Amino acid sequence: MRDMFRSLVFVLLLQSGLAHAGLTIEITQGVEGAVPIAIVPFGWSGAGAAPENLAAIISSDLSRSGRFDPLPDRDLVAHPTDAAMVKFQNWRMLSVDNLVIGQVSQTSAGQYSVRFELFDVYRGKQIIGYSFPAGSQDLRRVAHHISDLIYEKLTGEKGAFNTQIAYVTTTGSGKGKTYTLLVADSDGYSPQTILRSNQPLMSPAWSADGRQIAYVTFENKAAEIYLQDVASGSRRKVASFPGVNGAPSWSPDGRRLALTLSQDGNPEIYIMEVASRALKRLTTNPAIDTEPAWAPDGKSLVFTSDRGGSPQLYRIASWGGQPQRLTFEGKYNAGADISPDGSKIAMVHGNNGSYRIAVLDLKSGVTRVLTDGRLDESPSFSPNGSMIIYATDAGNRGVMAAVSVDGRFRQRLSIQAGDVREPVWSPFGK
Amino acid sequence: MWQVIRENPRAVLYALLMHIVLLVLLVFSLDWTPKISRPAGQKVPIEATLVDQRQLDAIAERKLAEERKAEEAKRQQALEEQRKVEAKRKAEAEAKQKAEAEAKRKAEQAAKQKAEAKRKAEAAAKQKAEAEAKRKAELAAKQKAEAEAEAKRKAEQAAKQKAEAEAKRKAEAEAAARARAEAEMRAQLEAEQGRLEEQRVQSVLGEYVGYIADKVERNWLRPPGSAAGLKCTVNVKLIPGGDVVSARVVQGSGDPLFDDSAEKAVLRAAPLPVPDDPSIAKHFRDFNFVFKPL
Repeated sequence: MRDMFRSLVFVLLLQSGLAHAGLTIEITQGVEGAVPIAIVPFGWSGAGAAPENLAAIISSDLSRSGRFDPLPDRDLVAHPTDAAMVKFQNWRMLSVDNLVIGQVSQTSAGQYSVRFELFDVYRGKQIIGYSFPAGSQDLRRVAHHISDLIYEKLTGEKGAFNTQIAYVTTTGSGKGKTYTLLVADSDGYSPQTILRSNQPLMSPAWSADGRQIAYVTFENKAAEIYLQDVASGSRRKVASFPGVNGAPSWSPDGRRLALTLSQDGNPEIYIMEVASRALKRLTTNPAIDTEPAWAPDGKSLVFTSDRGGSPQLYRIASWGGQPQRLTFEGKYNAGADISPDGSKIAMVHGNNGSYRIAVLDLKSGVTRVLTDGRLDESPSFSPNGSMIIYATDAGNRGVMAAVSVDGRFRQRLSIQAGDVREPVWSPFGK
Repeated sequence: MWQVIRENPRAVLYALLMHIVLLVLLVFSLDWTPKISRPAGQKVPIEATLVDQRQLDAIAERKLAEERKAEEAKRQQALEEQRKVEAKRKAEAEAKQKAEAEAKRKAEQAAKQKAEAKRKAEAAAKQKAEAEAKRKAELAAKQKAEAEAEAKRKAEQAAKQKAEAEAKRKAEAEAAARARAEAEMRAQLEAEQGRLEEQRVQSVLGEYVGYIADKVERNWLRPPGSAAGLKCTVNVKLIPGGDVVSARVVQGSGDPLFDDSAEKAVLRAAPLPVPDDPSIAKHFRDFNFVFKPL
């Protein structure tokens, strides 16, 4: 039928006697999938072995996004390191759209120059090319930055590879049990310890500028909320009320903190002016209200409440008022994070004894389950909204995993030790 | 009636006078009839004179007889008068009747005479007209016959000329028609050959359009999350082997990623399958793709 229609179109156009380009062929079907790309290992000039495999970092980044399908190293037909060495015909035969080549050169001890070029294989031309100076500690970050540049150039959407993830790990057991708050690169590498405690650490939350992290600690035997500067490590206690002090969430303007307090006897959502620590109670309900998450415009928050009999998500204006229920599918919908464009809500969706990451599209009202774990939790959007990081159960131990927002591509971030909980993706610009 | 009155005014006058007299007489005679009337209910005092009954009877009898006689005479006289009047009236009526009859007869006679005269005049006129018509008809018939004879003569002459001309024309037309028919047949033959060729070209074209579209579709990586309803036109130039010389968006969708994916689909699909036959392959030298996801 499609072919018939197509033939009809071309015959009609042919008979109408268009002198120029008389034939028109309609293309209605395509393939939705990852774009094939070849990332050639960067050349190395310097003493000893190359300090870092930048091509592998870039390849892993682009692959994890679900938008690109890097050619395996064994299929690389050549290893050019500058434009003059590129024979596009070779790459066309491999059906890759784009080619990335580069060179790392040692300029002095521990100092490097990183150059890379991105080519359009079919048009046989360079798309972008840059050179960066980098210290040995910066090489991974430079690789992520190159991933961002490639991603943005080819998808039209800002990359979020050069960002960070905060998370909590538990190691040891019994008296030796240690809780650690860490910050790692978006691929899970380069973890840095922010805080270590033998009492539980929970609920890390990035400030909008990425400079501070709020968290809950039991180091004084009761839940307290601290704000900590990531770079300097300095911190201050902002909430130590009787009962629950939990689930801090920064407002987009960075001036307020939404949190859960039970100082009035029941867990309710409050908003604190960070500078003055003035509190304003947002919810008044005998049920448990917790896990507030700000909308990107700061005008409303989404929180979890069991006021309807089971934990479900509700939306409330940031000045208060009557909450509106958002989720109706399933017996458990909790732990909301709102996408950077405000159009979607990621959440933990419980159904038939398994807890998975789902996305509720606010415009259509459609809920889509993205993961297939048994105990997936703590979804957090990447700052470009294209991916969600979450914790998943891997044999009685939590690990971090990332899923593309369309659910097509899912990957565990493999390197963390211990039981990993509550990953939170940083904003841009850290 | 009115006619009679007008013709005999005197008789009428007499009759009228007689009627008036009779009416007067009648009225007065009524008055003559003795009438004893007495106001009802009024007791008139009686003046009585005693007389001898017999004497009285005789006198009364005489008197009565005399009165009867006088009355009889009077009655006879009236009757006589009446008879006279009646006779006169009758005479007058008869006279009137007679006069009326006479007048009627005379009128009828006059009418009859007039009608007769008219009939005669008409008959004469008719006769005359008929004679004239006949004369004219005869004349016309004669003229017509002459004219017909002339016309026939002329027609025969014209027919003869026409027949000659027609024969000549026909001969010429036949020659021309033969020539035309031959030309048409040749043209038809050529057209038929052309049509068959066109059909063959269309059929092969259709086949290769299918191959090309399939290959391009297999190579079109649609950018995820593109808006619905995007459409762009890509102009393609090929060299004879099907290799793409250029693939260029000539009408964009507004979404640069979508447009780029369309161009790239064509580039990725190269070389495109094209037929060897140069007369068909020429259609694939320079053509358009319309990328329009369903």
